[in-house]
Amino acid sequence: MIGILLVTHGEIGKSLIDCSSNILGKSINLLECIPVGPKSDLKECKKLIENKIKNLDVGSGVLIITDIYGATPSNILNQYTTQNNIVVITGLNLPMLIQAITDRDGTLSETSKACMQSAEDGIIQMNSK
Amino acid sequence: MIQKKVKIINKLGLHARASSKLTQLTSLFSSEIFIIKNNKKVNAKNIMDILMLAASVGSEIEIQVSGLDEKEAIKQIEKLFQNYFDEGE
Repeated sequence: MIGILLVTHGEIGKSLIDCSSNILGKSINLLECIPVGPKSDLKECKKLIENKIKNLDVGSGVLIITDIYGATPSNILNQYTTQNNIVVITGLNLPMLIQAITDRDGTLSETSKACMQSAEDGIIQMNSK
Repeated sequence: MIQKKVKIINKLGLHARASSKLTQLTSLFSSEIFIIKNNKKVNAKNIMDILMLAASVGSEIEIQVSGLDEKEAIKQIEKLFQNYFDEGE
């Protein structure tokens, strides 16, 4: 099973985990989050990320998801994008996270693609005009 | 293959938690299971695909099941819809 790590601005990650858990009706394994705030120490963040990656990688790799591309969390994560056991994607939203949680027994590449598709599919203008 | 039309009778329709319950059930079967609404056909084992149908109360959907355990699968799926997804209304 692929591990999932959310690295987000503030408590977005924790809140999305709570919502997913509520929707899926269970607590979720191999899913963790790291909040990054204005006062966060970047060295500490990196240490935390590395520890979480070790814990979350049980052989199938880790999908790391952050919210805004180009912001501090994604800039920190840039250095992990060359590792074979890690895929980093941005644009975290609830459809993306639910897809990740419910479809992570395949390859890291398949799961990350499905997550990006779900995130995009979930953006819809509901007005007919 | 078994095809059945089902009316959604629970108040909140195929909302997130109901869709989750449905996928937990459909994933127990080896059969391929699809839901069709307004010509849109989705995999009934994928919660996000089901949610994209935006099926509210009163909607009519079609369930398509094909595989070795199709009879038991359709029976249990119908039961879940008829039991209001255990939501009481």
